[in-house]
Amino acid sequence: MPSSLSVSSSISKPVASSLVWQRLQRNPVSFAALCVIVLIAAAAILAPIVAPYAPDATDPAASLQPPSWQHPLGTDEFGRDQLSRIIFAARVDLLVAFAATLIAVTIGGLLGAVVGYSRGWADTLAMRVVDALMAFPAFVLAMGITAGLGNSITNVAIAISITQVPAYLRLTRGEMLRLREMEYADAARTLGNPTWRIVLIHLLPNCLPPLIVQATLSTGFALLTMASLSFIGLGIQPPQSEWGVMTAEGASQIVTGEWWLFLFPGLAIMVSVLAFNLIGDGLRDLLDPRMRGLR
Amino acid sequence: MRSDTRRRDFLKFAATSIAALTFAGKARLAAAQEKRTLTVAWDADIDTLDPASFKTSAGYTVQANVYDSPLMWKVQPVAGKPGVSQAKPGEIEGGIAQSWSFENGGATLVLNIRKGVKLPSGRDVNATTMKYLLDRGLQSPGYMRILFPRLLGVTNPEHFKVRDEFTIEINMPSPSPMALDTMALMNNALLDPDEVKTNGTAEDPWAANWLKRNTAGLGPYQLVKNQPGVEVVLEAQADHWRGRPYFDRVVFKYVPNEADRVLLLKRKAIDMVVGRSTLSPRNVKGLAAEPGLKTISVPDTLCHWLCMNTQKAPLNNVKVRQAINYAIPVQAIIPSVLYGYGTEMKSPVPSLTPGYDSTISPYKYDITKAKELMREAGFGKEPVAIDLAVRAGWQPHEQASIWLQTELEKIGFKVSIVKETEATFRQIATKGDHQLSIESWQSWINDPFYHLFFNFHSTAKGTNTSFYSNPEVDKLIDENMHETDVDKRLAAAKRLQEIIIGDAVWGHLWYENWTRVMRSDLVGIEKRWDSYERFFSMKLA
Amino acid sequence: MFFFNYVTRRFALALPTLFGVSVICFTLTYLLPGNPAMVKAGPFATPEHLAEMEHQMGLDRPFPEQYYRYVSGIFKGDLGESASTGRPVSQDFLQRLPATLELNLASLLIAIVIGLPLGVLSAVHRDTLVDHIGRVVGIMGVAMPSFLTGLLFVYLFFYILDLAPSPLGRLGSGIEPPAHLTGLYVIDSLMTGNWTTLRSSLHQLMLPAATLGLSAIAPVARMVRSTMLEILESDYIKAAWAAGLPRRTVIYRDALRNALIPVITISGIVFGFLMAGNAVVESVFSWPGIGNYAVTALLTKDSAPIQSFILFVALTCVMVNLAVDIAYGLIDPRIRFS
Repeated sequence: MPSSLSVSSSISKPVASSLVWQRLQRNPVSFAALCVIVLIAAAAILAPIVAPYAPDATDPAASLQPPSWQHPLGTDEFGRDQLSRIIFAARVDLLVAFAATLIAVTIGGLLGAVVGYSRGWADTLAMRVVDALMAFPAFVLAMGITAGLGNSITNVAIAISITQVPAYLRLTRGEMLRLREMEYADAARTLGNPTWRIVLIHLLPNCLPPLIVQATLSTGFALLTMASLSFIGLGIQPPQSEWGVMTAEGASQIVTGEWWLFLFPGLAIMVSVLAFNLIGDGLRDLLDPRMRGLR
Repeated sequence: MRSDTRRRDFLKFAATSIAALTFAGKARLAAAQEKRTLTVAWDADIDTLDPASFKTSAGYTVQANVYDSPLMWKVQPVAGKPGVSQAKPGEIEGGIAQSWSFENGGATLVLNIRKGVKLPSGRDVNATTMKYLLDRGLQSPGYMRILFPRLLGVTNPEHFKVRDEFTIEINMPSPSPMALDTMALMNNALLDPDEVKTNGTAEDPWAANWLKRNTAGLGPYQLVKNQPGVEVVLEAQADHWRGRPYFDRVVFKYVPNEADRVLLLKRKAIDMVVGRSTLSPRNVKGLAAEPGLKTISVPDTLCHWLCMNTQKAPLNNVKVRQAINYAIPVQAIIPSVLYGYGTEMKSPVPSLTPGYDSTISPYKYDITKAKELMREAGFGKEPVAIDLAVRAGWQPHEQASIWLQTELEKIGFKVSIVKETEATFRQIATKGDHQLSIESWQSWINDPFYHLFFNFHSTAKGTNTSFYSNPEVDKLIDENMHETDVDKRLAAAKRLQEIIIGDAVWGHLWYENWTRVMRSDLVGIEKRWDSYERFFSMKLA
Repeated sequence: MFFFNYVTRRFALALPTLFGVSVICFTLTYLLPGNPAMVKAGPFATPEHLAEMEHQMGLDRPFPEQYYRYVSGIFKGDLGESASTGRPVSQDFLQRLPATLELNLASLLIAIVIGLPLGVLSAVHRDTLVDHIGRVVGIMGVAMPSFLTGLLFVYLFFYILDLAPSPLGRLGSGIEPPAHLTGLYVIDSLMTGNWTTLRSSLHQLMLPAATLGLSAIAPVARMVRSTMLEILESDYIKAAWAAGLPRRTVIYRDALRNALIPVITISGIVFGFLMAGNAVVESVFSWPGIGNYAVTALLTKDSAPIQSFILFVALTCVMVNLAVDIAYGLIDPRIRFS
C-alpha cells in the first residue's frame, strides 16, 4: 500500500494522551475497531487457554467437517480444528505485522529525524534512496525480498518492514525540516543542548502523531501483504499457521464446497485490516489540529 | 460443440442485459467452431520448440503432436476402461520408420523408413533426413547428447549410417536393450534438414535458436499460434501418414489458477485439463460425480518418495533410514492425500517396470519397530531436529509432509517443514543441502536400469538426489545396463532392489496414477511412457 | 520557456532515482536463490556443461561487471530472454504490457468513480452515520485479500450466475483482437468501430477490473475526504457560508472543484499500487499481463523477466510521479518558480 498518501503532512502538535482517549471514545466506529483489535490480541496471547484444541492435532476421523458444536468453525482435511488454528494464527499474524511496523517506524523515524535535522548531503542521499525505494510498489518489493531471503517468519517481517521504511523516513524528515525552524528548537539550541538531545528529546516526539497514524494503517496492510505472498507461494512456512496461508489454501479449493476453509480465515484478515484502518482514520482526525475544531 | 448448446439453453432463461452481451459473443463463436475443436486448459508456456532441449510440459506436449519420432510406443486398450489405451513394456510400433530389424548380433539397429512421407516443404523423407536428426541430437546441446552415449554407446555421428535411400543403420558398440525405446523418444523428432540448415548460423549450426520458436517437421498437427500466457493453437495436417485427426483444431488455454481450471471444467467451457499435477487429487475427486465429465486414471511409472540424504547425519545411518520407512503412514496417505489416484510404493522400481518385485520390501507402518530401530541407532532420547523440504504449491507433497511430520515426531524427530519455490528447491537439492525432502521422478524409458542408473548410481550427479553411493550397486548397474540376456538382467534388477531396499535409500511413498479429467464423450485417449497427451487419436464417441 | 525549464529540471531530478531503481532491481535478482544456468541446462546436465552454461550467461563474472552488462543491455533494448517462453523478454513485455495497462486504467476508473462521491459524502456528513458507513464500505474493499475477492467473483458470477464470461483472458473465444493501435482492446475496438470485440473485451474486463478497483477505493475516498474537510474549513468557504450562499453550491461548486486537484496525485500513487496488485489478480483471471508473468518467473528464478518487471513497474511509478508533478506545474504556476 502506498503509505505516504494516507497521512496529510500537516498534522502537528501532540495531544495529551488522555485527551486522545476521550476523543476516541466519542468516535464510536474507531472505538469499536480498537476493541476488536484488543480482543484479537488477547485471544492470541491467551491462545493455549482459549483455543479448544491444539492447532496441529490431526484427527483423520474428523477431516473436513463443516462447523458444528465440537468444531465451531469446522475442520480441515487433516481434521485440525479451524477455530484453534485461527486463534494460534493470530499470534503469527499480529507478531509479524507489529514487528514489521515497529522496525520500520524505528529505523525510518530515526533516520528521517537525523537527515531532516542535519540536511546537507546526507539528506540528499537519503532522499534519493527513498525515492528509488518508493518507486517500487510495496508488494512487488516484498515479493522480491521474500523470494530472495526465503520465506521464514523473520524474513517476511524484514521484507514488509523494508517496504515501509521509506514512508516513515520521508514523513519524519518533512516534519523535522519544519520543526527545526520552530522557536522552541531555537530555544533548545540557545541553551546549548547537544544536537542529539535536540533531535531525540525535543523535536522527535513532536513528529510522532503522523507516524502513529501511518503505523496503524500499515499494520493492517502488512496483514494483506502476508496474505498475497501466501497466495503466490511465498507465504510464511508451516507449521505456523497464518491467516493468509489458510485463506489461500482454502480459496484454491473454493469449488469443492468447503466454504468454511476460506471464509473464516478470510474474515479474520478482513476484520483486522478494517479495524486497523478505522483506528488509523480515527486517530488522524483526532491528531490533526485543523480537524479538531470542525463542527 | 455441446458446451455451447448448454450455455445457449441457459441463455433462454436469462434476461439480464449482461447476458445479452454474452449472446452476441456466442453467435460469432458458433461460426468459428464449425471446425471440430478440442479446447483444453493447462498451466505452462512453451519454453522451446527444439525437440532436443525442451523443459516445460507445454513444450513436450506440443512437440509430441507437431513432430514424429522414428518409432513409437505401442498402446493397447486398457481392460475395463473404454476409450483408453496404454503402452505396454517392450511394445513398440513404427513411426517415421515403418519397421526395424537387428543385425550383427543386435549391435546394429536397422530402420526402414516409411515411403511417400513428405515434409511440409514438399521434400521426401528418406534416410538422409533421418540421419540429420540423429546427428543433430548427438552434437547439439540437449538431452540426446547425453542419452545417446549413455543408452546406446553411440558417440560419433559415423555410427549413424545411411545404407540406402530408405534404410539407415545405427551401429552400437554392443547390443542395447534400450535401443528401440530410445528411438521412440520425442527428442528424436524428425526435422527438415534444409530448413534447419538455412536457419543455422556460424555459432549455432544446429539452429537451436531458431528452433526455439519455429517448427520444422511434420506431425499430425501444425502449430499455428503460440501466444505465451494466452493460448496455443494446433491445426490438423490433412495428409498426415496416420490419417487426418478427428479434431481439426486443438486450443490450449493458459489458466494459471487451479480453481479456475476446475470451474471451467464444471461449466464445460473447456473439454479437458492436460498436464501433470494440473488438478490436485482432491479436486479430481470432487469432479468425479460431475455429470458430463469423466475421469481417467491408470497406473503409471511416476514415483514419489521421501528423499533422504544418505551423506548427512543422522540419515547416513541405515537404521535411521529403515526406522523412517517403518514410520511412513502410507495407508493414511493414499486415501487422504491421493484420494486413491495412486498406489503404495513397494520398491524403488516402478510397478509397471520389468523386474519390479513387490515382495522384497519388509516395510510397513509399524511405529514400535521404528522406535526400536531408532533406539538401536542410538537415537530417541533427545528429539532430533530435522528439516523436511517440499515445493510450495505441490499440494500432495505439502499434505504428505504434514502426515509424515506427525509420525516422524513419534519416533524421536523434531520435524520442520520447509516450503521452497521450485528454483530454490532444485538448487538446494543439487548442492546436497536437503536432509529430508519429497522428490518425484518418472523415467521416459521404462527400463529398470535406466531408472536405477539415474536415481542410484553414484555418478548420476544431479539426479541421484539421495547422494547414494554404493560400489556394488554401481557395478551391477554398469554391468547390466546393456546386458542382452533377459533373465540375467532381471535377476540383477532383483538383486539391486534387495540392496537398495535393505539400505533403505528411499522412504517409500507412492506411485502416482496418470489421471485426467475430460468431457465424458471424449475417447481415444492414449497414454504412453512419457505421459504427454497425443491428440491425433482423440475423438468424440 | 519557464515551463520548459521546469520540466527539464524535473527530469534531471528523476535521473538519480532511476539509477537507484536499477541498482536495487539488479541486486534483488542477483540475490534470488536458484541458478538460472541450471534451469537452462536441464536435469541431465553434467557439471562441465553447467559451468559452460554459466560462463556463456556471464554468471561467473564479478557483481559490478554483471551489473554493467545488465544496464548496457537495457540501453540496447536487450532485456534478456525468458526461460519459460523462450522468447526475448522485450517481446513478451510488448505483448503483455497493454493487458496490464488496460486492467489498471479500468480499475483506476472504477476506484475514482466510486471513491470520489464516497469521500465527498463522508466529508460533508462528517462523523455521522453516512460518514461511518461510507468509510467502512470503502475500507472493506481494500481489507479483503484480492485473490479471495477474485475467486469469489469468478465462483459467483461465472459459475453460479453465468453473468460473467470464462476467466480466460482478454477476449471471448473466437473473437479476434482489434487492429493494433494502442494495444488496449477497449480503445482500439472503439477507434476502429469494432463493436463485437468492444463488447467482448469489456465483458472480460468487468470482473478483474472490479476486483482490482475495489482495493483502490479506500485510498481515493480517504484522500478526497480529508482534502474536502480541509477545504470546508478554509477561510474562503467560511466566507461563502457567511455570504449566505446555498449549501449545495458551496459544497459542490466551490469545495469539490478544489478537492479535485489532489485526485490527480492520488491517481498517480494508486496507479503504482495497482501495478503491484495486478500480479495476484491477473493470475486469478488468467489475464495475460506482466504481473502474472513476473510471479511465474519469480518462482522459477527466471531472472530476466523478474528484473524487467520490477524495473518496469518502478519506472512507471517514477514516470507517473513526474507526470503528476508536471501537471501540478501546469495547474499551479507558483510551484514552477519555487
